Amino acid sequence: MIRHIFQLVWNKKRSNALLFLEIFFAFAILFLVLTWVTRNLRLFSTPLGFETENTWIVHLDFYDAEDTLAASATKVRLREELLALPQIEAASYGGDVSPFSGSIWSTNNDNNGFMIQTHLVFADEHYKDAARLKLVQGRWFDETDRDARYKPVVISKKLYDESFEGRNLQDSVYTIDGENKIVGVVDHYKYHGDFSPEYNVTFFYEPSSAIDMPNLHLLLAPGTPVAFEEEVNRIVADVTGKSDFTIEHLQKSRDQAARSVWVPMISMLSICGFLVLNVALGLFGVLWYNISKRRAEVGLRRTLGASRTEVSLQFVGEIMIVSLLALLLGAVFAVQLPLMGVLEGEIEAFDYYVAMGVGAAFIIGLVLLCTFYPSQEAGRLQPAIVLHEE
Amino acid sequence: MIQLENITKVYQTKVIETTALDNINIEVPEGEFLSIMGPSGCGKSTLLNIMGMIDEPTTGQVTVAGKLVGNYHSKATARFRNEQLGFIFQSFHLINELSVIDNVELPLIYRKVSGKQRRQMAEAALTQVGLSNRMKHFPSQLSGGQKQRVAIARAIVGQPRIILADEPTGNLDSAMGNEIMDILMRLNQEQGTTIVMVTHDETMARKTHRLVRLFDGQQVS
Amino acid sequence: MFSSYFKLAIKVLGRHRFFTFISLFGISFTLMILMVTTSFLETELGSHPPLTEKDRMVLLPRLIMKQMVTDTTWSVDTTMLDGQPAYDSTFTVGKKRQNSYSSSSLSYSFLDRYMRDIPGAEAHSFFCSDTQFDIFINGKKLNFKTLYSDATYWEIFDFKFLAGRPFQPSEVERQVQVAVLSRKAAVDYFGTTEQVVGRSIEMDGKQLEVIGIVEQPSNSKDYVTSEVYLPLTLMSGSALTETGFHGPFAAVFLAESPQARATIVESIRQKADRIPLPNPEDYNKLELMPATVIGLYAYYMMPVQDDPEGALQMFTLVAIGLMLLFILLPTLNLINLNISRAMERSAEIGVRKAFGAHSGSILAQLVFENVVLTFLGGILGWLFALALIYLVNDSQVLGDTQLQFNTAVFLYSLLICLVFGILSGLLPAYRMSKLHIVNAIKFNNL
Repeated sequence: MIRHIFQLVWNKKRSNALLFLEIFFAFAILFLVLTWVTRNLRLFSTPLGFETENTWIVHLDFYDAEDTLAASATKVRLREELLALPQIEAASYGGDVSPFSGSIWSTNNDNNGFMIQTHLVFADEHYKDAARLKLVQGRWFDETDRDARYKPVVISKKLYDESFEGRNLQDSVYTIDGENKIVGVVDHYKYHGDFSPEYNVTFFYEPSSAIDMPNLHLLLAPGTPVAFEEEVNRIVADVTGKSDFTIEHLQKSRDQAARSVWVPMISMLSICGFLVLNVALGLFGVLWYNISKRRAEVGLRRTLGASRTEVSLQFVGEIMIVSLLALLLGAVFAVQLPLMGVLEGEIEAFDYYVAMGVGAAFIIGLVLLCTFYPSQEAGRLQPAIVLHEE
Repeated sequence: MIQLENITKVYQTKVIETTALDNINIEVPEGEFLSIMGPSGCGKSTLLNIMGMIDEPTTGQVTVAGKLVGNYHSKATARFRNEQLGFIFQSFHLINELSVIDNVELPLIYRKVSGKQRRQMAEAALTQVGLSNRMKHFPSQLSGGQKQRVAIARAIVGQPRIILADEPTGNLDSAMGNEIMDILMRLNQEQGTTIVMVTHDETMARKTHRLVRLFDGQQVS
Repeated sequence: MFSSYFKLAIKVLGRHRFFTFISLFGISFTLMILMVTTSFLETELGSHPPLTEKDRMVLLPRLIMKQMVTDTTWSVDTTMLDGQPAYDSTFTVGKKRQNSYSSSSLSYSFLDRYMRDIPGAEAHSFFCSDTQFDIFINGKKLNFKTLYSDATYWEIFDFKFLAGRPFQPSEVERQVQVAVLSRKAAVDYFGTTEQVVGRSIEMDGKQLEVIGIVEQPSNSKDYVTSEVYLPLTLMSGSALTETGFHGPFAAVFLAESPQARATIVESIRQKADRIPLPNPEDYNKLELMPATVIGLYAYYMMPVQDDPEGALQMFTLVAIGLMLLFILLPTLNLINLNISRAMERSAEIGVRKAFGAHSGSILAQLVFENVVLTFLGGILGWLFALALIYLVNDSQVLGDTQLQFNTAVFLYSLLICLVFGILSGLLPAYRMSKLHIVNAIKFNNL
């Protein structure tokens, strides 16, 4: 029976060609869009690793200070005064590279006999509390690191797994940026945004008082009213004597960074959805006309002993074969992308394969849906009537 | 072989009620070659359809090959029809996108016969109608007479006991018509197939065993 | 005759309502998307104030410093020659590779020193668009993006002033505390745009007199969109004097004509090779990245590094590819539907031919019918597009960008409709027009 349907489809190649092309291109478009969506959803589901709610960053700038000692003292004093407030749970100074800012410092070397590739983030001993980082090994920075012989660093678990693979880090010195001692491993630090991949991160220690640690991270107690910001603004202005600082709401920055991916993604999906709907309607219409032309054939088959179901299934089968062949061709092209590692680093093979599977499943489901009703109607045609129609 | 008892067929549209057949009683014994004649619109085709179990009478009973037909839409009836009957139509009703041999194999596909066997049976049927050299051709490449011969091959490929022919020579010229008639006569004489044929042609009808005339849905002779 | 064909076309469409519905759905939606996309591109890349002269502009947003090293290998082969060791040494110089890389915007001192006399540039301006200030007023917090510039900035970018004027060179020189506000900033701060000129705002610990109010640019490019515009001499700290090459500034150059832009780009690139680097131990190669307005736009979208022109090529390819793919499906659909319908009209075609119509006129009639259908769909699509544009603008989903539906967009849309209609109608019409009279009139069986 299947061979018979194949025969029918093959002999009507030309009239099936358009449908074939439509399904092929619909799959192509679905595949491309779904790959992007899968990549985004996959990245979105990985944890950020640090707190963004109730977190502000006060962007200060001490680079112009003539009296650096006084500037350091001001910084320390500011932190203490703010920490004294009940609404502020933790405060920490960070470097110029802050989350969602788009800035990157990175380095790589293979001086240790293996490749290390990592981003650099500067943090003080309080950052773990201000950002609620989770340590899976060792410890965060503390006062003993101020005069350490080897500069201490804390690396992310991703870097650990990639380059250190189960080594015991106790009492070992590695070259990352100069000679460093790894004192701890942090779970996750995905600081570019919800939809960005997690890069390898190495935290370098700088004390709070350092001039090149200008950004003050504040962790607020939950439920702190909005009006509190004006008070913080006043305190900062009073203590530092500056007026050109801004207070960034980290959650807002995170949302904005995410929006630049959400908005195009939803637009693409909507357009995709309507395109596919278009194809579905077209399929429905074509099938309807197709069957109306073949009424006599239906009558004949019923006369020859086909049951209603067999007739319905035949029509569904014809369209399904065309669709499956088109999907097969589409898959042949689609599978090139993961095999050739296109856009490796941004898009993983997983994304491609999921997109292929979901796209194909969706199209098959759609085809079944659209062919169901017309083919049912075909099965119900009365042979006595259709055989004598002309 | 076929018994029709008190068959009435009434067509209901929203406005009109048309009686196509009125209290028909016919019995066709096995091996008979029966002709049915009558003017257009007298119900000949309807009668054939009812005999072929592809139409349901409004009242009355139909018995085919000893079985009383109950549910006309069931799978069992479809199977039964596939095994016992062969159909031939005036407009041939070949599937243009299939080759000659694929057309002939069609009833066997619904009987779930295996590929190799189907091919053998189809080739045998085509040889019987003298078209074994045209197996791979398509209907569009055949003449009217050849098309009808393919249709006959299709009708006999499953070796049914009954053949129902609806004006089989209606679309053919006299020479081709005679050829078709000869094949049907041979089938009936050599294999004992019961044949019921609706026709306009009196000369053709005279060659058969019995003639039934219909007029306005009623049997008149 | 034209009107009779038109009436006939409408009748034909009315006869098969299901088919017409499906086709209209597909066409109107496709055209809606195409029109909105056209509007989007026109808004983002068109020559609207303040970028009316965008085709004469060359921007310089980034400066790149690299350290290029060559790996050298020295190998020594030792062989025995007459019982004595002989040394054969080879010194191989490998390819250059990049060891360090730093990319950022430029410092004022760099621009001031090296970028004031670029050949081909009619005018130039330096500005910094990277700053923001928090202002607390009436219990709410405002975050004002601030753009610092020189006076020539206003000559190159033709902002539309709702009131007042831009700052003059003398005001910049004398560090006069004046400010130009955007319309939105004026409303946020003062609640109105009426009679705001002459009042002052307090920001960065300074009192700034508002001397002008400008209309929002219709698209958000960060080198023209801002809340407050200030003379760059008001920048605090060492921003103007720091001697490194990196800093928060960028530059724009105005060429005499669009073709003259190439001269500017070339001059800038060549100049980069001649400028000595301050610390060659850290970085020994300097590159400048000049870009056209459209090139810079593409650059931010494409995953390329330091190559706006390459990004533009990629962007154009991707855009055209996507457009084609997008139009392809509905076109295929329409062709499919048209062909399916063909047989139903074969009798009519046969009769027409029998009465003297030749293939060419049948073709024309059918394509015309399809174009009518497409234009009907186009009108619907146009209505939907207007609605969608309104929604997008109202919900601010694209930020400050306000989509427009102007004459250019309308004409492009008309063109798209026409092309679409012809494309999707041609193939089926061609096949139908070639029908043999006899076959057409005789009704087919199976």
